[in-house]
Amino acid sequence: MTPQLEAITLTNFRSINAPVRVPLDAPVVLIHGQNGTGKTSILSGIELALTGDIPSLRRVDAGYRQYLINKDAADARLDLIARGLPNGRTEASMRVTSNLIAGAPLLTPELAKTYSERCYLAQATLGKLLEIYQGQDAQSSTSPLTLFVKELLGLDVIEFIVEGLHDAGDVRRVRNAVPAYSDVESRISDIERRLSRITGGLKYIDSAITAQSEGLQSAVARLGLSKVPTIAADCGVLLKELEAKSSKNQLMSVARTRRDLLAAKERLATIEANSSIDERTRLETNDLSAKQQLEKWRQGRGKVLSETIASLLPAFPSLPSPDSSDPEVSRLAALGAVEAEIRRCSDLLTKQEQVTSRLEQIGSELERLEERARRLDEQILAHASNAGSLAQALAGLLPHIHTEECPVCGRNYAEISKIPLVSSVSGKVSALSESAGMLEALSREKTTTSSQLTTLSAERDRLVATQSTQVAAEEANTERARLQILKQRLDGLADEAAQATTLILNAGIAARKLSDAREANDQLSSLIETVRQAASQLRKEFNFPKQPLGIELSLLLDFAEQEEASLNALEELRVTAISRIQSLQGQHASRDSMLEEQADSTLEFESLRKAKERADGTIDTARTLSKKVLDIRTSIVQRVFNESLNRLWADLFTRLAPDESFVPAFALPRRSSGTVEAVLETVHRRGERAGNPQTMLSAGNLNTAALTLFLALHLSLDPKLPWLLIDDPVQSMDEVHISQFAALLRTLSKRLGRRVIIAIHERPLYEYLALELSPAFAEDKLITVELGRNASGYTTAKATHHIWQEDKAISAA
Amino acid sequence: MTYSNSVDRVVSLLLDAGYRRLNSPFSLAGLLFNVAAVMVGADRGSDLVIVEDTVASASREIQTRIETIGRAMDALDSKRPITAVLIGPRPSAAELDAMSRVARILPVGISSLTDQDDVLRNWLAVLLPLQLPPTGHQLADPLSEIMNQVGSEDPVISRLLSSAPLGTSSVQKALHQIIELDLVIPEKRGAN
Repeated sequence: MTPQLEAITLTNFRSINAPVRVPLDAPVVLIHGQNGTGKTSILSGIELALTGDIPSLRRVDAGYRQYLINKDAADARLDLIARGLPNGRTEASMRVTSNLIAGAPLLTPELAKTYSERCYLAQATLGKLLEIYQGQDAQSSTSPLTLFVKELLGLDVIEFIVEGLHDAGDVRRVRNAVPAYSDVESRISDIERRLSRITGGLKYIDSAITAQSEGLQSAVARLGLSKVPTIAADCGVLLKELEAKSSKNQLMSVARTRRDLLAAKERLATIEANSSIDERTRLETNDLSAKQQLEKWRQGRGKVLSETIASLLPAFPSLPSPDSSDPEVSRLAALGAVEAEIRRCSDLLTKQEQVTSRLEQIGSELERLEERARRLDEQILAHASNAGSLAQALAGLLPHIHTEECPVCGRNYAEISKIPLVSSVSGKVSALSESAGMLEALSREKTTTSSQLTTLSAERDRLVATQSTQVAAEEANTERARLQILKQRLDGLADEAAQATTLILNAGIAARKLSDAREANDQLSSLIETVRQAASQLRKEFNFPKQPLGIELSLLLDFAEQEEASLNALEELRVTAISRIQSLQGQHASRDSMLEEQADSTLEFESLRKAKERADGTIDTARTLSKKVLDIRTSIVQRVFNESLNRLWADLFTRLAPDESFVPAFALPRRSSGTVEAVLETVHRRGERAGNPQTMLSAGNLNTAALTLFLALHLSLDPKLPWLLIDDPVQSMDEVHISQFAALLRTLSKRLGRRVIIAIHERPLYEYLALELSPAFAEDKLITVELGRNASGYTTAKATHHIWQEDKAISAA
Repeated sequence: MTYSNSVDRVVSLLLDAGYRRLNSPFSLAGLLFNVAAVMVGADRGSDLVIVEDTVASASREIQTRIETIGRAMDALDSKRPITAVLIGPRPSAAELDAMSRVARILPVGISSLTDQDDVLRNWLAVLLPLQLPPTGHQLADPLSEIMNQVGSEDPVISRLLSSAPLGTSSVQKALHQIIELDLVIPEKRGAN
C-alpha cells in the first residue's frame, strides 16, 4: 500500500493560534492563504510530526525550537494521521513545550532523512538549494550533492576497494603496513651483499691458491718431491715428506768444520812467521851474542859501578845491587841517596848558624826590656796608690756643699780662701782622678813589658837547648865533602849504566823470540791434524805436504763455504715450501667453507626471492584491480550521469524553460582516479559545456534549475515515500514558467503517482493551479485548503474536496 | 520520419505520447472551431491541445479562437486544462498575454530551423510523459559490475572483492594478510 498522509491537526503551532485540522488524503492538496496565515506552519508541522525535527527551519535559525509555540499559548500540539507506512505507524502526537518536544515521530530515521532531503522543499530552502547541494563551505568531495550521488550510485564499495588497496600503490606503504615485506626485502639485500662478498672472496682465494701452487711447484721440483696437491687432504702427505727431508744436522756439521778451518787459517798465519829453521838459528845466535855482551860489560865498567854502590851500602843498606837489577836504575838510586844526604848535611849547618845569630839578638833585647821595667816601677811609686778612692769620696760630698760652710768640719771656707768651696773641692777631685788614671796606664805598660821579657827568655832557653855542639857541626861538614866526591863518581858512570841497560834488554828480547819460535813448531803439528780431520769431515782428499798447508786450507775452506751455502739454500727452500703448503692448506679450507656458505645463501636467496615475487604479484594484482575499479567507477558515473540523472534533469528543466539554451547538468568526472565529485555545470543544447548554473542562468531559470534538480533527485529514488511537499515554489517564476510548472505537477501527480501538497499565497495562481490539478479521472481527487482568520483573529481553515466529474465538453471516449 | 509541415510533426509527437486527435473543425457548446489540429489526452491526462499555425491564420484570429474556446469550456464547466501550440512566427506579446489567461501557450516558433524536431520536443515536453530512470534501491550495482568485468577466478581478487562490502579497513586487512601469506617462507629442508 502506498504511504499516504491522511490529515494533520495543529494546535497553537507557530502562527496557527487555534486548533486547525487540514485534510491531506488526496493525490493533490493545494493550500492557499495570505502571508502569515500559516501555510508554512502546516508544512513545518507535517515535517516535525514525521521526523521530529525541522531541518528547513534549522538551516535558517538554529534556535528555531523556541518559536514553535504560538506566542499566545503555553504549548503546542500536532496530531498527524497517515497510513501505509513501512513501519506500520498511523499516528503521531507531538507536544511542544517551552523546553522540549515530546512524542515519537512517524518515520524511521532513515525515512525521515529521505523525507527532509528529497520530499519536502521548504520556501526558505529553494532559493539556496544549489548552494546547499554544492556545499558552501565543505569540499566538493563531501558536499551533500556528492554524498547523495555516491549513495545513489553505491560508490561506497568502490571507495572501500580503492582506499583499501591504497597501500598497493606505493611499495613504501606496503613496507610500513606489512613489516614482513620490508623484512624480506632487507634479507634479500643482505643475502645479495653476502653472495657478492663470497664471490669476491672465492675469486681472491682461487688466485691465491694458484699463485701458492705455482710457487710450491718449483720448490717441490727442486727438492725432488711428488707433485703439488690440488685438494686440502693431499697437502698433509707432502708436508710430511718435506718435514722428513730436513738437512739441519748436516748443515750444522759443515758449519762447524768451516769454523774450525777458519780458526786454523788464522792460527796458521801467526805460526808461519816463526816456523822457518833459518830464522830459529838466527834467533839462537842473537840470543847468545846478547848474553855475551852483557857478561863482558859486567866484568868491565859494570864492576866499577858495583863497587861504587857497594861502598854506599853501609850508609844506605837498601840500595839495589847493579848485578841483580838494571844497572842504570841502581846507579840512579845511589845517586838519589847521596844527593839527599848531602842536602841533609847542608841544612844542618845552615840551621846552626841561624840559632847562634838569634841568640845574640835576644840577649840585647832582654837588656833593653829590663831597663824599661825598672823605669816604670819608679814612676808608679810617684803616684799615691789610694788617690782613686779619695777622689770618689770627695765627689760624693759635692752634692752636699751648698754654702761655703765645710760639711766635714763646719768651718767657713771663705775665711781661708777666696776661691768658693765647691770649686775648691771639685779641683781636688779632678787632681786626684788624673793621678789615678796615670797609675792605671803605668801598671798596664809594666804588665806588657814583663810578658815580653818572659816570652824572650823562653825562646832563648829553647834555642840554647837545640844548639848543636861545634863537634857535631864539623862532623857534618866532613861527611858532606865525602859524599860530594861519591856523587861526582856516580855522575861519571851515567853512560856506562845506560849502555848496560840496553844490553840487558836485548838479551831478554832475543831469549823470548827464541822461546816463541820453539812453541810455534809445536802448534803447527796440531794444526795439520785439525785440517786433516776437517778434510775427512768434508770427504775431501788431504794433500799436505804435497801441497802447502795454506793452499790446502784455503781450498778446504772454500769448499766448506760452498757446501754450507748450498745446504742453507736447500733448507731455506724446504722451510718456505713448508710454510707455503701450510698456507695452501688453510686456503683450501677457507675455500671449502666459502663454497658451503655460497650454497646455503643461494638456497635461502631463492626462497626469499620467490616469496617476494609472490608478494609483488599480489601487489600488482591489487594495483591493477584498483585501477580497473576506478575505470569501472568512471564508466558507472558517466553512464548514470548521462543516462539517468542528467537526462532526467534536462527533461524536467526543459519542461519548465523550453527556450533556455543552457541546460544545467552534472559535470562528468574528467579523470578516473581520485574521489567522485558532483559538480554542476551547464550544457548548451548544441552540446558545448559551459559554466556553473549560477553564472550562466538568469535568476528565474536558476530557480527553475534548483527546483528541477530537487525533483530529479526525488525521482531518482526508489519511491518509498512518493510525496512531494512544496512551499510556494513559484514566487520568482513568470507566467510561462508557471503554466509549465502546473503541467509538470499534473504529470507528477496523475502519471507518476506522486502525492503532491503545494502551498500558494497568490490567489490567481492558486485558482489556476486548482483548475490545472483538477481530478482528471475517477478516484482522482483534489483538496484545496484556504487559510484565514476569523473576526476574533483565530486561524480558520476551509477545506474543499474536489472529486472527478465526467467532462461534458469533450467526450473522453 | 519526415513530415511535410510542423502541424503534422506536433500531431505525430502527441499521438506517440498517447493523445487522441479530434476532427477539426470541432464543435464546443454549439460553436464550430476550425483549428489546425485538436488533441485530447487519454487515460489519466485530460488536456485539450489546440494546434494553430500563425502562418495559416492571422494571430488575431487565433487569439479570438483560443479565448472563445476557453470561455466555452468554462461555460460547460469543463476542468480540462487547455494548451495552445502555436506554430510559425510568434504573435505579439499582448496577444500571447491575452491567450495565456485561458490556456497554456506553447509558441514553438518558425519551422525552418534545422533542429526543428528538438525544439518542438522541448516545447511539447510538458505535454509528454516523463521517462524515469529505472528505480531500484540504487542506480547501479558497482560490485556486481566489477565482478563481471574483472572476473573472480583469481583467488586474490576474489578475496579482496569479497571483503569490500565490509569497508576500507576490511579490504586493507585482507590485502595485508594475503601479502603476509605470500611472504611466508617454507621451512628449510633438513633444518633440524
